[in-house]
Amino acid sequence: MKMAPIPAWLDDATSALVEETVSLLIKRHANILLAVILFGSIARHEERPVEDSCPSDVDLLAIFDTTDRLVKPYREDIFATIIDACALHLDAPREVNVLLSDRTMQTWDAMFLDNLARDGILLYARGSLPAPLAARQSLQGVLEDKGVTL
Amino acid sequence: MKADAHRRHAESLERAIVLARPDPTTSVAIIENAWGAAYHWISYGCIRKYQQHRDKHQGLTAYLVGLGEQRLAQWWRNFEDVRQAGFYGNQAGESEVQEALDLLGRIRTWATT
Repeated sequence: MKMAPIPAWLDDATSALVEETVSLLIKRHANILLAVILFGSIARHEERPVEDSCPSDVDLLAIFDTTDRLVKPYREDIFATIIDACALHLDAPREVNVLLSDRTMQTWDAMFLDNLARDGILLYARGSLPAPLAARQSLQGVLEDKGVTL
Repeated sequence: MKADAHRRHAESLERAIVLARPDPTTSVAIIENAWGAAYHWISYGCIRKYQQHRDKHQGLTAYLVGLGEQRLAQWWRNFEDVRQAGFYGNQAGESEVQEALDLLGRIRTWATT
């Protein structure tokens, strides 16, 4: 299992932070991490530039193999991992936000799921995507097109 | 803003939370107020402990890590997740409210001790 490439339009320092974040999540939480999806303005390549007074953040959705909406009892460890990645890349001009989701994804708004399926860039997946995403346009093909073996 | 002004803002937002708490339909408002109060407590604590603070929430995580406050950065990142999930339609129920209030309590304790 390996990561898909980070979009080329992201600056080098932020790209390194995204890669570190996803790599550490995979390394430390491999048994529960199901997928990581880049979404939002960066995924659509509609981001505000880093020179902007408020540059766009990088939005990641990390899906975990639990039915607990708040991803307990792993939650604290997951955020510790995210902060460890952040500490290694304090020069990144964009902030990386990681939203946590349980595997049912039942509480997410349908429009958000539609947007995620349409615009999201799958950076990592282990096995099949959760049903709410698999039922929409398949992100999995995007990952396979990039040569990532599931 | 000076430290005392941040503290007053935080306390005012916390009073609003106490008033809203009995009404289960106010969960989003409670989380927003708790997040705002946490931001002001962080500013208050940073001024007290480091004689500096960040005057916007963007980039606050990296700023706190840069100060060596990794635990606080972790709580803040956690708070951002609870809040931002609401932007994308994720439900804000009692467990999310409780998580937000727990984080606010930890952040307030950090700021005032």
